[in-house]
Amino acid sequence: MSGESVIEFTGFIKACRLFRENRLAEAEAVCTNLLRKNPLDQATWALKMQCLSDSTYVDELENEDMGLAETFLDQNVIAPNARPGTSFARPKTSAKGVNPILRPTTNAGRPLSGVVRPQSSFKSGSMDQAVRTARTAKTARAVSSTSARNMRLGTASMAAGADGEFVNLARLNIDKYAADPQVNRQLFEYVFYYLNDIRVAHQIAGTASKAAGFEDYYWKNQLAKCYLRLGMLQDATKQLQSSLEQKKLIETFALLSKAYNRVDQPMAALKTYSAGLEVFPENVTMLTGMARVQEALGEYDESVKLYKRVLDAESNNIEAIACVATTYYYGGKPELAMRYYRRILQMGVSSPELFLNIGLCCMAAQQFDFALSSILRAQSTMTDDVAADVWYNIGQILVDIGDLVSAARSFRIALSHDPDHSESLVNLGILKHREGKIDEARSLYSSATSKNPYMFEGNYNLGLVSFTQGKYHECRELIEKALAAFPEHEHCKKILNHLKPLYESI
Amino acid sequence: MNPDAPSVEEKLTVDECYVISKEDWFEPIFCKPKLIPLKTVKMREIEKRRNENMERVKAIETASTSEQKNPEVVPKEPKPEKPRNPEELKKQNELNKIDLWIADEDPARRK
Repeated sequence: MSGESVIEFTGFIKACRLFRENRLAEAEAVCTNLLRKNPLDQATWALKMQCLSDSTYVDELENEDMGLAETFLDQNVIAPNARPGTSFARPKTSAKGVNPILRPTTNAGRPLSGVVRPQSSFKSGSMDQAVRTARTAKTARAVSSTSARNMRLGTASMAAGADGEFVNLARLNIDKYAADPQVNRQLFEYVFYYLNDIRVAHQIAGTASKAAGFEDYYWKNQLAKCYLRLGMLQDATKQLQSSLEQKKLIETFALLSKAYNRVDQPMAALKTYSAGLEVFPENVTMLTGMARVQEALGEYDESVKLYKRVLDAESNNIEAIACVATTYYYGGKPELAMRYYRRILQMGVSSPELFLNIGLCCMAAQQFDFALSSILRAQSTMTDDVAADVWYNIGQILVDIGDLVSAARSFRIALSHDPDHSESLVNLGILKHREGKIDEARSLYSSATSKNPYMFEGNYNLGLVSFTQGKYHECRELIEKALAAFPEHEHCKKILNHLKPLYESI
Repeated sequence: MNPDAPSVEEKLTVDECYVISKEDWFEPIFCKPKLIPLKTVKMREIEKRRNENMERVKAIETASTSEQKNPEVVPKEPKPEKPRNPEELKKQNELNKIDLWIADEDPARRK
């Protein structure tokens, strides 16, 4: 109808509405046009900075990458020889009866968790081992340092814009704009998240905190974020504690616990989470953080209780469901684990990892038809990063069925996807061992133990082969490594008892 | 019922259990099925952004390398007019494939 009038927004109002609707690219374009007309418009300048930083925003609570420098050159641990149970490096694995035969471990020697976490992607052992890890076409280069990666991220962010650098930090009067409460938050977030220049961000936060008379909890939190990125954990702790005295926020409690985890103080982290729970009862962030710490300490019963409290508060939390399901599966209750995984499937998550986990639960619960269909679906939708694990589990199922030829082929396919997959090496070695090819089995076991020194099965199997071949010294070393991974294994003790008279007679 | 009677405790070790043969403990131990850890929504978003940023950095590097190669293409243009024999054409093609003066840092191009 020609009589109706259509309302169209123009100018700054249009940019604000687009930003509110989370259409960041369009809002940024409108701001760019406005700034071409009037470069001195500070409101548009601040809004454009906010659009750019929101597009590259990363949740600091989840952004917890550890490169080689953070892992091996770390001087932040307060108590290197902590008592068992009070440190991440020495969790109580034997006291709680966690069996490494029943529950597999990662390459870092830590029992598997239900979800992937940023911290669990690095390999432990020694720096030499990490540096000498083979580079293939699919494995990326090891991250040398988090600071270097942040610089590269900043370079990538600036290159994305056609106009080049939006704010020239070298010519910007940082002290002037950092003290201006109208634009300093946008400027800080632009420098911190978009440019990833932590030094300048720290300068902005320091100037803004001074201008606010050191009474603004927001700038103390931002200073703490800068200190965490720069690795200055003591200063971060001080800033966060001071911020908590002024105003208690969920983010502040979580960041303080993160700082304590970085200096290997899980007990202090748990205390901080408990204090946060007193102020914010049944908060999901606090409960999830506590559950993660307990899981890293090896307290799986406590961790499952906390995850169940998370599920009481938030029924669709995928991390809690996956972790509870994992604990039930390795605890001998695959039916319960299957119900939890199907719950994730009902929420619309469709991934090859989920289908494979459902297939494994159905296989353990002896529902073979649904197991095979789930595994075939996982195989058809798998991606490169989980292809080795999918083929390894397919081989394991074929071993259970009894088709050893196809199982060996599956393990070889898994090794073609990931040459460092130590579980496939061990299982393939066992199949060769059964065929009577002892030398091939021996080389496969050796390769597995070199890839994953904390693995129990590789050390034990290689020790067994050495025992049968009469190489008792090598056998003793390997069985002692296996006992370090699983101190309660009776067969290892028996083999050592067999070897003891040989050494006593010398 | 007698309080002075000693309590009897049952203990079993591997030696005393019934075994079919004494070599049952010579069997190797298989690795068990391994549940794959799931990825939360935040982890997926973080990975997406990292991959996008790494692709941008690679695009920058390829653009800079291609800019360096551009001026060398110009003097090569009149050369293909001169040779008319097929043998010389094959030789020049082989020479064109191998850039002796530019060190390729990208491993993908070497393949």
